[in-house]
Amino acid sequence: MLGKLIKHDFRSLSRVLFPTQLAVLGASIIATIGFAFNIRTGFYTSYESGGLQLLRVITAFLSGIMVLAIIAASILVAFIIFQRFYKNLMCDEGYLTFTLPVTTTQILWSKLITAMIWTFISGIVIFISVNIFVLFGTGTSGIVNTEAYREMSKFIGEAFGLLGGRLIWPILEVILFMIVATACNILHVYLALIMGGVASQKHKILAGIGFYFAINIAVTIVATTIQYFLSGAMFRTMDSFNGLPWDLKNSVEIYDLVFSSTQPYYWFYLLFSLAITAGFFILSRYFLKNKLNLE
Amino acid sequence: MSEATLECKGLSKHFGTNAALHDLNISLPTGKIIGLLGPNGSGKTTLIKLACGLLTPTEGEIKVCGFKPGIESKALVSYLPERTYLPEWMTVLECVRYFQDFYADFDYERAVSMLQSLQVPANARMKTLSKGTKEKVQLVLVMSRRARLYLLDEPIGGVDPAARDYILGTIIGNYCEDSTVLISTHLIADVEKILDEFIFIKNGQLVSYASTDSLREDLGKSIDEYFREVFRC
Repeated sequence: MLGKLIKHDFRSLSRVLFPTQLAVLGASIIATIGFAFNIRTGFYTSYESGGLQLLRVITAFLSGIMVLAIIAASILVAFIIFQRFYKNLMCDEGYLTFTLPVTTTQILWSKLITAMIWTFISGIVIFISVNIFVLFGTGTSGIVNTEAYREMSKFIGEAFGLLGGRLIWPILEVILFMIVATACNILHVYLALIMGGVASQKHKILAGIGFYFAINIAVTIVATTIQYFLSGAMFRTMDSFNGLPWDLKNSVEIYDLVFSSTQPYYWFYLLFSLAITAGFFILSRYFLKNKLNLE
Repeated sequence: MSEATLECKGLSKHFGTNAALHDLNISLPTGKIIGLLGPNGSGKTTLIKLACGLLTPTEGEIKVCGFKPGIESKALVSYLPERTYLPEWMTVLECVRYFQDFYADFDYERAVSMLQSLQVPANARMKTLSKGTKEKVQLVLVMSRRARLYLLDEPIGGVDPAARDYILGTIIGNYCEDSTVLISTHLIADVEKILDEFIFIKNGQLVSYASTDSLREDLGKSIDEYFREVFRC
């Protein structure tokens, strides 16, 4: 049943989000063309006048608008994910959702997984957009500019050459943390919307916004308290790096030392975020299961 | 089967200080069409929502075929709410597929043929349909399941008299020994002819639960007449 829920939730989101992502790609192509035109014809100078000048102003303006459109589209993705959640669970559609032969846990998982997939897709689309821009928008001669990629691959090649395969671990750790943080942020809003719906019949969204900040404050208080107790140890770790011989000769040893001494903090914060995320999930489930009162 | 299709024991539901249902005890048998009747605010919708698991009881318990509201009971209950609950962006046929996907007891052919009889355009999006047509779609979906318990909250309130007859005909046509239909409505005169039994509730409490035949034989009254007598304002 979870698979069916995910299928339908994904379809319901994709219907709206797929066109927005196409629009993002389209906007980035237009912005790239505009920028490429400017960079190849020399930017605006007040000495020139006439058609070329006007065209430059227009294309530069267009590029700016398109960048704004891309930013707006990524906000729209989040907005639509939460709007679908709200309508599907807390409004009239909830009468259907909550009478399906599925568990509350399955409903929540489905909403979380589809939201994460779409956050990931929108990230990929922005990554592609940036690459379109770098490749086609930044060259002063020729159509394609691969300079940035050559520099990047040189840097990565050198880094791996120096440190070897061990460099893969911090990369994996960052990815892992991003996944947990994404889930945490999504469930934070879900929980706030659910609590808003449980607490108020008339002003569900307003109450939801209030709960969002209330939850935020509660988590911040806990995090700051933990930070306070950890800070002494963190400063000592930082201090221990002072006398290290920071040069390329010793890079492997230094890397190993720094990496291993920061590991406890990484895992502590990851587990802390996981605990908060699990807390959001459990509370959401509890409220949906026991306190749901669709008017 | 010994257990009741729907059973309430000491069932109460409070909204704040207001008791929508108070200490309701009732046991509904299998294979009957039962009217759930009462004035506005008497607790009809609350009772139905409790049976669906959309509300949680304040006290007491409610069971469908022996199951408390949950994944097992939801597979057995076919619920028609008093509002439109289908996503506006879906087409009628997409809604049919949605039901087919989630409910093992859904009869796709039956749904499609009923939609054709009611002349509902299968490829139209829900948001383009009139309120009455939306209600027809929902009723078709709900009645196309082979459920053990049908909970119909105001199923004929918004549709024209011709469709009303078709819908009531459908309910009777769908009737089988294994299932119970509970209909909540104000339009007593319209549904009276198909009811085997009726429940009167008022202020969240049971007033009367009897069979239509016994009412006719003992008091010589129709449910409609009896309702007007009991709930006289």
